[in-house]
Amino acid sequence: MEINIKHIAELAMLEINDDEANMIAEEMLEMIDMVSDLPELYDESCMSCEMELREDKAAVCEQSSEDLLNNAVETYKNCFTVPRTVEH
Amino acid sequence: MKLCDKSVTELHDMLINRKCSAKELLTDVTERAKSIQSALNCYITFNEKASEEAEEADRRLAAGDKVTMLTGIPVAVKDNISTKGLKTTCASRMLENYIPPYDATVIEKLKSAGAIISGKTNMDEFAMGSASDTGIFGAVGNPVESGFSAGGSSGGSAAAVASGAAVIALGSDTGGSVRQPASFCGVVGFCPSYGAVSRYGLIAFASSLDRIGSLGRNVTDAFLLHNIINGADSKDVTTIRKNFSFNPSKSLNGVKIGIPNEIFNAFISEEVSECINNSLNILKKHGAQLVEVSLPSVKEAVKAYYIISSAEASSNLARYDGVRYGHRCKVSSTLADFYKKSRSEGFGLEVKRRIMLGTFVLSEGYSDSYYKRAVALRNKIYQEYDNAFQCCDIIASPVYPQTCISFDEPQQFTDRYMSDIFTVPSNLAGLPAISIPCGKSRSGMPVGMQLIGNRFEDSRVFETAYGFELYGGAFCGY
Repeated sequence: MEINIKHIAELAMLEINDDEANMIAEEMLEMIDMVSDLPELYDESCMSCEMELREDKAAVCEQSSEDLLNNAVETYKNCFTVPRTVEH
Repeated sequence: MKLCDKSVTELHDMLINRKCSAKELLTDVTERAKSIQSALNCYITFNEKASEEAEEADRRLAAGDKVTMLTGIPVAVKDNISTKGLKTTCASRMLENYIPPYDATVIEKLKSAGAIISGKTNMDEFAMGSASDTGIFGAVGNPVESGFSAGGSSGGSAAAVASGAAVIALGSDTGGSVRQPASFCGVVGFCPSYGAVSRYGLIAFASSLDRIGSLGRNVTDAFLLHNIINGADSKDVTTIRKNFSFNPSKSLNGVKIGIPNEIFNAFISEEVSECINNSLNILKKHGAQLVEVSLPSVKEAVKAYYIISSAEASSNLARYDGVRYGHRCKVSSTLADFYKKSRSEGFGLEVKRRIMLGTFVLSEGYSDSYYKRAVALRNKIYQEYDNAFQCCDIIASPVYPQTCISFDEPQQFTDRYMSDIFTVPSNLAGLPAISIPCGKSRSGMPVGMQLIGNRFEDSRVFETAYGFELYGGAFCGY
């Protein structure tokens, strides 16, 4: 089996160089070999799990904006920052 | 015997009768924890505010306020459970400096009960591992022999309890991560039914498998901790409304212990086998009936587990993008490059492996062959357990095929995955299970026996474990 490691890494938003790609490809094949050969079963029904869903109402956030921004590496005027995404 | 080595019941009695203070107890536990930290590496962070919490507990005790069994008792918390104002790292560079702005529900409950959070314990990164050796803060040593692992991923919690560096501790169990380290360290480790304990604030690994479990040096201590943390929670819709009692006077007489053929025919080391067989004989001698049961798909369970848990992990860990919290790369060109670099720098090798596997099994062209078949196998395993529990009350099994994991003997990672064979099936089926000390290897390494109950039969698991503990299973100290 051939796995397109670069494609999987792209989907997973992980960066791997060519050297790492070879090592990871080998490891992936070992893992896939381990989990392959599953019985031919196709029952996709979920196990019963009763859930008491909450009302569809916006809850009051117990944390302040300041609390929530505290863990960001970089903020600007009460906003999280990200690299520029819009060309101008 | 020092205060830090006593049971919750003994300490509660001493605190109520003012034979010791919460502050003295905390000091004893902290001194022990710090004295063994370099050898065992149980803790990532000590709680600097624990002293204030102990003073408050002492004030409540002195005033005759309503207190609980855990008031004034130091509890260690695995570092993937959110503690407000106290770093919660998951032993990962991704969350190395993360300080949660809120407490997990289990932490809120512990604080209401007057328990003292002694600190955050070491673990495998994002709870992915079986030897507490994949995290960035180093491996956790076994209290019996530090050259061996304390097990994982809740190794820090188990080693802390075993060595007196905590009286009781919280861990998390997705595929055995409370039970296996409990077995390796010779303490009791309980993994509740899925839904018995709120996962709100537990940093997610695999949401359909994760539970928060309790560790103690005896069954009663583990129950007392579980008794505080369990219950329905509106912030976790998967929790159930059920109270769990514990009747220690129930005897083993007439309890039917299921012995699954497929598990006992799997590879088990001679020393583990000897301990388990001796334990089954003890159970039988004291009135339990041993009944053969069959779980035909149980040997395939590991495959289903690694597919499902990795798939869920790849989704859960997608939130770590460096924007709102967590590691952020210093240099990037585009937003996508920013995400990739932040994640690749933040996650360790084991985490990346599992994210890649999870992404693969969910990807187009492969999800039918892998993920959907794994879910179908999971359903089958659940049915097989249900059938087995028609003719038994509890299922017994080993916890791990070997007595321990040595740091000096490197192991192929897929071999380590396959060694989870005894613990993952009950996680897949949502069942409660406990590891209780049942003997030692010739070199003195502890061995645990696993008792598994039907869904929501957590009480019966505790009661059977307690019955066994009276006659054969006990923490021996080091």
